[in-house]
Amino acid sequence: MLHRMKIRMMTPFTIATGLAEVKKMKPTGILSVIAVCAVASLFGCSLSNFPVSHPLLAQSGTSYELTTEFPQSPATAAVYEVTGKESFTIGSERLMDPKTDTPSVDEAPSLALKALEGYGGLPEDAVLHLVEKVYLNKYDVKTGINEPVAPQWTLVIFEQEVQGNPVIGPGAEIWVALGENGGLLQLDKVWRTVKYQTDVPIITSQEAFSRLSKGEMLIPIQSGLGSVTINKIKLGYYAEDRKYEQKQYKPVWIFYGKDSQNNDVRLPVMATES
Amino acid sequence: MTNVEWYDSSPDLYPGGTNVCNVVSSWLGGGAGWSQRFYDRDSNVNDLDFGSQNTGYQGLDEAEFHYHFGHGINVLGVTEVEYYDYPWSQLIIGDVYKKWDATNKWVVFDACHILANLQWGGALKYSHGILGFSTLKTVSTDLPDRFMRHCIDNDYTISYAWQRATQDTYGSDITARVIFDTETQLNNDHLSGQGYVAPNENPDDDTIYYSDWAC
Repeated sequence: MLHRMKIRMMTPFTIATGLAEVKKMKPTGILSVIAVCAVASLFGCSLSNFPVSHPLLAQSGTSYELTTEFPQSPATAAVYEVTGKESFTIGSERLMDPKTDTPSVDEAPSLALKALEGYGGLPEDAVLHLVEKVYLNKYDVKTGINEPVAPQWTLVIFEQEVQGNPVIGPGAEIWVALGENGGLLQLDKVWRTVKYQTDVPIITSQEAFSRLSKGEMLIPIQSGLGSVTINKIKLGYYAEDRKYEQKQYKPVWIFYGKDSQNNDVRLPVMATES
Repeated sequence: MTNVEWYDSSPDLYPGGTNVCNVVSSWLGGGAGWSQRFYDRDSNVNDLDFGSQNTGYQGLDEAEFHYHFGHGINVLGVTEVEYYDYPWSQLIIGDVYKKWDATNKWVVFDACHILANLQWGGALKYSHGILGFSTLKTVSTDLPDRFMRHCIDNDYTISYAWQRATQDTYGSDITARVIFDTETQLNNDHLSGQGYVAPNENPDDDTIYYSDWAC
C-alpha cells in the first residue's frame, strides 16, 4: 500500500498566462491552511493526523509527499574507509562551441568507454547514470518558440556503487563530453577508492524521513516553500566535493523523487545517529 | 551583490549567503580591481535592487556584474526570487522585463530554480547574460570561488567558467543553465578586463540563447 502523507495544497502566489499577464498576487497559503482545516474537520480529521503538512506549517519550508513504502531498515550498515582519491579535469572552452554533430545517446556510452581507455579505464564500481545530448538553443520570449541551434556535446555520466549501494554527490562522478566524430571534448573524474571498515548502527528510514521533513539534510537546499514527491528510499553514501579529504563513506538514507517541475532529485539524510 | 539568508517562513541560509558573498567580494576586490557598487542584504533586498525601474536608482543595472544569493522557487512553472518575507514579496520576471539596459552585463542567480523559466531572458535588453540553475541546488562557497577563478585566473569565457564551476561543484542531479542575449555573447564574453566582450545587442530583439547541462 502506498503512503500519501501530506495534504497537497494550491499555492497560487503567482499566476502566469504569458509574460504580459504576469502579476504579483497576495499569497493565499494561510487562507488555504484554514480552508483545509475546515474541510478536514468535516471528515472528522485534524491536521495532526498527517505527519507532514503544508510548507507553512513545516519546519523545513519544503513539503514532502511520500508515494512509496518505507523500506526495511537494517540495524546496522557498513562504513567504508576512503583509501585513495583521483581527481582531474581535461577540457577547454571549445566545449561550448556549436558543433555540426555529436554522438547519439545510443552510441555515446561505448564511445565514452573507449575515450576512458586512455585514462585508466572505467573503475569496477562504476555504473552508467546518464546520457544526454546538450544543445545550444534559441528561445523567443514573445512567442515562446524554442528551437535547437546546434549540438554542443553528448554527455555520459558514470557514478559509483559500493556493494550495490549508490554513492551520490559531487565527489563520485566521471563526466565525459563527446564532440564531433565521438572525440573527447572534456573529461572530469573525481573518484574515491574505498574498503570496508566497520558496521555502525543506523536510524530507520521513517526516522530519516522525519529528519528530511525538518530540513535536516546533509547540505541545505536553496528553495523554500516548495514541494517534493518521494518515490523511492534507499541506503547509500555521499561523496563530498573533491577538495575535501573525506576519510569515510558513512551510510545515508537517499530519498529519490521529483520536484514540483518533475525534475529528479536525490536528497541525502545522514543515517547514523550523530 | 544581494544576499537574502534570513527568512521569515523559508529556511534560513545563514551564514551561507555571507560566506558566498565574501568569496565574490574577495575575488573581485582583489587583483581584479573591481569596486563594489552596492551590497544589500535580507530585508533591504527588494525589486529596486534588481533594476525594476528605468529612472532613479537602477540597482543591478548600475553594476556591470551582479551576484544574488538566496532562495528561488518554481510555482507552477513561474520562477521567483524569494525575498526575506516570502511568500509576501518576491521578484518575478514581469518586474524586470526589458529593464536591464544600462551598465549591467551579467547577473548570477545563486538560487534554486530561477532559470527554469526562460522568460528571464526577457530582462536582457542590452545586458548580456544570466547564469543560474533550473533545478534545486545546494549552498556552496566553492561555486563562486571556482567561477571567479575560472573567469579571472584562467581567463575563460563567462559561460564556460560557469560550466566548469558548476560541474566541479555539484553532482548530476543539479542542472545549471546560462542565458545570453546573443549567441556571440554566449560564446565569447569574458569578464571585463579578462578578455573580449561582445557588443550589446542593438537593436534589442526578443530572441535569447541558452544552454544547460547536468553537473
